[in-house]
Amino acid sequence: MLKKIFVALFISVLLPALASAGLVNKKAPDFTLNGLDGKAVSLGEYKGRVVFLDFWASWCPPCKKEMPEINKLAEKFKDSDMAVVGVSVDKKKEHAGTFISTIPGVSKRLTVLHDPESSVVSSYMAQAMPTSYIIDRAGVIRFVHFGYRETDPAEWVKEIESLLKGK
Amino acid sequence: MGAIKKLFALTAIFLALPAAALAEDYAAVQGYLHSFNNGISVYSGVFALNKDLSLDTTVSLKYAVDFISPDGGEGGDDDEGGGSVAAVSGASAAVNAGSDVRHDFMAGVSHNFNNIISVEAYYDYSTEKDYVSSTPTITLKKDLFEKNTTLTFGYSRNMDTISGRFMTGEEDRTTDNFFAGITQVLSPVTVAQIGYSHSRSEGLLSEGIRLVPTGAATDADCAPLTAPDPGIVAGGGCVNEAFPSERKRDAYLIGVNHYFTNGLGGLLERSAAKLTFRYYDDSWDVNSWMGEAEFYKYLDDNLIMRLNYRYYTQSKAFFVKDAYSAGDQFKSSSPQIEEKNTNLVGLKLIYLLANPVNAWKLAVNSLEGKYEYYTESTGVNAHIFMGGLRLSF
Amino acid sequence: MKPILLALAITLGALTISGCARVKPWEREHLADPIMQFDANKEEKAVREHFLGTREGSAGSFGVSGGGCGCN
Repeated sequence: MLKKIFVALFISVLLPALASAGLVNKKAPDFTLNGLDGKAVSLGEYKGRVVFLDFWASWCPPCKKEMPEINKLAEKFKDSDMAVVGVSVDKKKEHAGTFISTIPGVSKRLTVLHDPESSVVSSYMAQAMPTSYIIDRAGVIRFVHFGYRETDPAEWVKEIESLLKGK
Repeated sequence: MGAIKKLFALTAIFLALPAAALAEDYAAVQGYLHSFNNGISVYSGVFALNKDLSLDTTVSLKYAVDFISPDGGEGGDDDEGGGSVAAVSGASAAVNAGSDVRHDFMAGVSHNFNNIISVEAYYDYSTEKDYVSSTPTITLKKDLFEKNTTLTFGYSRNMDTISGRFMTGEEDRTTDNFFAGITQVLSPVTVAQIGYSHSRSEGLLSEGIRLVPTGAATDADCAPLTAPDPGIVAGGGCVNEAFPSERKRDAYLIGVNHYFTNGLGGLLERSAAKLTFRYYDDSWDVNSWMGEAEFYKYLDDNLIMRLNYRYYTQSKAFFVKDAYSAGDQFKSSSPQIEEKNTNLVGLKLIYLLANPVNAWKLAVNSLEGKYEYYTESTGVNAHIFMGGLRLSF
Repeated sequence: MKPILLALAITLGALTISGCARVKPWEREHLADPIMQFDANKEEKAVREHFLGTREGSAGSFGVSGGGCGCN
């Protein structure tokens, strides 16, 4: 009986991890969201390009550390086939706008979208805030980063360069 | 072999998921005034610093100082309008209505080990004229179920040296504290916690700062004394308190925080209610109940109001009596272990600066102030004022 | 009254183990609000606990942290 309880507990604890890890090498769920300027943007528009997709929120302290690095990433790859898309899950658009305005020198290559109903982030089964996905040119998720670590920016660059090489 | 497999599975579960979250850099400066109706005033200052060295490591430093200012108090204790014993900080009055100063230093570090477990270690050192306390603390925190559950386990050891004015030398007291808690997110707007602590104290458990009248002696006989006098009057004396040399305590807590997104015609929008209940009992037969309610409300985007109310009731220690004889093994003049009810009610305002004010390398982010009123069924009451600011860097 | 606290503890524990309360990371905006934290102002809390500890005969179990944004 005890063994069954442990196995059940082990599985129930691992399942969410498995579910989201299961998105790796799967097609990225398509979506259409509005930007902070109100303009609609679809993931499909980036077909043929490598996409760095990040879900964040203004109330998330690691997101505050991460966003300047994402901004640098957008600048680093501005002349490439890479698109950087940040999706805010804030309920209020103005909170997302205020958050972005605190970043010095916001890159023109950083696309900021708003997901107030959290419908898109739930389809991506994010397990932490923030969570980032690196999607290849065929629209397949190749890398997932749950949360933000200080080693992430260097890993992002390596992963993106590996996908950019594979045309 | 089966037991080893089970242990491995349990360990794997415990280690499987992330732990800890990032703190934010801040400095806090606060000032307090506790003004008692027995003429005692305690002025306190708190200076705290919290800094992320990395995403995984946070250090905190704190210095607190209490200036105790008795107004004509000398000896005895506060209930009869004299002295400043244990007014706020445990600091005692110097002889002849002097004042006392208590310094408290705290340093701590917390580290998240590879998102597996978070460890916090703190050291607290406080000193005043007749009391030195040294307390290391260690806490382990583990998040489970997508951080919906946080388990906390901790241990601290108080190592105190007491040299109260009615003592001829100094004596030690040691307290081991164990605590555990679970915090559980119940919904996107509700979080609850339960906690338990157990502590064991040994050594001198009184403070050597109060005298007990025995026999025919009265509080008035003892009040002006600077040393015990067992024969101050015929058939009576003023002697040191005598407490048991051991005390075991258990405390149980349950709390819930709930956020309101709307309700009462918009009155509850952007507000939160916090309810806490605590039950305590110990080996001296002191048992107590505490209930506390706090209500927070954003009055606008930059102003937060907090209303709070706390009710507390406790029974007396088994050896507390109305009158003592010289032959009693235990004797007490301490208001701390008498039967009492207390009430605390207060209002706090926090102003969030829309544009932080820069001061050197710091930015003032918020200002706060509070007023609280504390009353005891023993007749003691206090007005509590607090002002402070929070800075980022 | 202790049995009631024990029952509440077991209930909360059962909820914990079953994981039936699974709030997703992106649903924690309100939980991240400072007014919802158990340890929002730990300096003030420390002063209050010390003051009350010198006036009242009980000590301990003043609560632990947790909840919040659950980030990273």
